[in-house]
Formats: sequence, structure tokens, C-alpha cells
Amino acid sequence: MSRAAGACFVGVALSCLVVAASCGKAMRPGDPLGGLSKAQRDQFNGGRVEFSRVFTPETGLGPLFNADSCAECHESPVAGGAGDEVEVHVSALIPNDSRCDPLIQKGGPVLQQVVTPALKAALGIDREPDPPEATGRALRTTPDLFGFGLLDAVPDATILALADPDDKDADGISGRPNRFFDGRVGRFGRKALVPTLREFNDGAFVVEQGITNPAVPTEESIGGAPIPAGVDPLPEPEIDQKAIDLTDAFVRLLAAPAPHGSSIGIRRGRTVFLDIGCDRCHVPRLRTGDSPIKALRMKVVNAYTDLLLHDMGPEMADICLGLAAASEFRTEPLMGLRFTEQIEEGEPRFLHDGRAGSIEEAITLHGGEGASSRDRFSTLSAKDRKALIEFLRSL
Amino acid sequence: MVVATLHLVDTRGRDIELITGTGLALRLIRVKVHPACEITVSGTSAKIEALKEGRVVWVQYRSEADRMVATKIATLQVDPGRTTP
Repeated sequence: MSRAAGACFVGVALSCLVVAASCGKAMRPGDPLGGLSKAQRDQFNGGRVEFSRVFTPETGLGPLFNADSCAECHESPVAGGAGDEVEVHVSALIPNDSRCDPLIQKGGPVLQQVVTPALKAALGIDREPDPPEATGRALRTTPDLFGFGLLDAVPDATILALADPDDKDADGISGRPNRFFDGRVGRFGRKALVPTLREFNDGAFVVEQGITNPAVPTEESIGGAPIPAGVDPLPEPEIDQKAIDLTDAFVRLLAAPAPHGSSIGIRRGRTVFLDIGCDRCHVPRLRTGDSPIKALRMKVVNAYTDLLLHDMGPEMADICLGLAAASEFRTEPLMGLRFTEQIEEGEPRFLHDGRAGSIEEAITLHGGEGASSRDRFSTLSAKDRKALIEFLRSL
Repeated sequence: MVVATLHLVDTRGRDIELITGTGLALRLIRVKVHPACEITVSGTSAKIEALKEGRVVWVQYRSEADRMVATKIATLQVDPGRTTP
């Protein structure tokens, strides 16, 4: 090979490397993480089948439930995506105390909105009743689950390092972690109550579908009352360990959505995002820690969250949960925001309860710790506003 | 053994109710506090009256007939700077 040909070959090889490193294979929504073993890919594919499995009362559904499959809600644009379903949560703030009662003894905190025909025949109800003791009632939209395995692999220490509960740096942002009832750091759910993805998935089978499993072998109560005899005849648990392991693998191994596009507007929007301080809570990048799954180990995830609770102001307040006050919410991960906007059924709904019909409205509804960025957004030029929205739509 | 949050302390009936669960499938469990149960609050030996609702506790128990009976209870300090209590 001549020196010129050699130089050309090296140049082409370097170009290929640069392209491979910067672009890689374009991930489509619902794809698994890159770098999985064949066994992990098989688990992922088997898990997608379980995730999409439609239950009936005969196969364990209910007697109280919100949906008959995981994919009924997490459906757009593919299984694991966002959805138009909105569910109901309740809790009670105990008077003269800072404690929050999740109203377990009254069927809380998740109130199922559908009942099986057998339960309707037995009790004459169409949904789980709202407990009169509730001091807060919350609506909760269906987020996409892309990249949640990566969020699960972020070390607690990273979350705690981002916390500034007393706002010692005086920037008006004072994130703090929520804690589960055993004291562990929470991160999943709109109030960041649940410490691990595994627990969230195991619990979701029961609270969303009424499907008991080895991790949660008991049904939800009906407003605190036991299920009438004969209404739910299938013995517990209603699915086995294999089914729940596969479902967990599917959710855990869903790839994070790759931000798409690199237009001038998107690049400008990213700068605006930083300039007006959105990144103080919507932290652009988190790094995962150690994991038994190589594809989750020491990876950067463009999460746009700090997984901490922030006070969003009284207008946003709904329920307390764990240590979270009614006005405190976990910073919503913005990765995959475009899937909420591109939802295939129903209208796009933004924020934890779907009160915003557009990204722009969601920004303007930020209060509390988000007020400063909101105010700066309102003073942006039309061009910069447009650029910011374009950037957010690229996530 | 269970680590959970005290939901209710019935000093007269010597019962405690604990919040536990998996994900958002939360459960209450009721535990009898045996008169000989060792109770420690903030590292100091204490009586059941010193247990306060909302505290995170470590409970060692044994199963007796259809109920759980606590043999040791210790309050845990949930420190924002620590990853586990």
C-alpha cells in the first residue's frame, strides 16, 4: 500500500470511527439497550410479550384495576411508551402533624377506576370509592418508560449529592430526596417514593391490574374492605416469578430515547435551556453506577432530571406521599418528552396530572422553585422561546 | 425482621401498625409488642410510649398463632446524607 493510499485508508477509518462514536445505530422507540447479550435480548423480547399480555378476570385481572395490560397505558408510539390514561391517587395530611397518611386502610394511595363484572355484581360499584378522609386527590398521567433501567442504575449517592434541602447555595432551588417507608432513597413515581424499578414494576401489577405475584401476593383492598368471597377465585399469586422477571427485564432494558436533530434551533434551544436555569432541576446528564448488566453499567443517560423533590408552588399541589409535601414533585425526566406530545390516542397532556396541553403551557405553569425559570422564559424573545420548545421536542 | 414506618402506636393494647409494601402496593401490618420486647429509641432503652408515629423502625418479630409478635424494636435515624438507614 502506498503512503498516499495508507493515509487515505487511515482517514476513512477515522471518519468511520468518528461517525460510529457520534451517531451509532439510530435507536427507535421500544428498542432494547445496545450491547445486550443474546440471553438478555431474549429476556427483553419475552418481556415485551408479558408487558403486552391482556389479562381477563379468568386469568387474574382485578377485581379492581386501572388497565388490563401494561401496554394498554404505556402504548405510544410502541409498548413501553406514553399513554393518555390518567389515574387517581389519594392521601391525607394528618392535622397538627407533618405526617402523611397514604390511606392504605381506605384503599389508597392508588384508587382503581375499573372493576370486574363480578365485583360490580357483588358491591354495585363502578370504581374504588374516594375515601372521605383524603385531604388530597391527584391525577397521574402515564409516562413513557424508555431509559428507566438507566435511571434505576444511578447511584443513590449521585441523587444525594445533587440535593440541597436547605438551599445553602441560595439559588432558590432546594431539592431533597423522598424516602420509602423503610428509609431508602426513593426515585420512581411522580413523588419519587419508590426506591427501585423492580419494586415499582412488582407493585404496578397489583395496583394497576389487580395481578398478584410472588413479590406482592395479596390483592388491594376495596376502600379498605376485603374482597367479597367468590369475586376473585384465582389463587394467589396470579402470575409466576418468570412472568414478572421477564416484564421487569423488558422495562429495565428499554433504551433511552436518543435526542434527535441538531438544527440551529435545537442548538440554540439547548443554550436557552441552560441560560434560564432549567438545568438546575432538569439535570441534563446522570451517570449510572455499577450494575450486573453491562449495558447499564457506567453509562451516561440524558435524563434531564435530578430525581429529587422540588416545591412547585401551591397551584400545583395535590397529595403528600412519604416525605413529599403536597406541592413537592420529583423533577420529571424530560428524556422522551416528544413521545408525550406525539401520543397517538387522545390529546397530549403534560405535567404530572396532565393539566397542561402543550410544552409551553407546562413551562408557564411551573411555580415555586420553578418560578424563576418560568419568569425568565416569559421574557424570552419569540425566537428564543421557539428554539427552546424545538430543543425540548428533540429529547 | 422488617424495616418500616410506624403508622399507629396503640400503647394500651400494645400493638403497632407498620407501613410497608412494594412499589405503590402499600400494606399495613399489625404487630403485637410483647411485654418483654426490647425497645430502643435513639439508642436508648425505652417503653412503648416512646415510639412515635412516623418514625422508621427496625422490628424483629416471631410468628405466634396468626399474629406477629415483636421481640425487638429500634428506631432508625433517616439521615438525608446516608443511602440506607
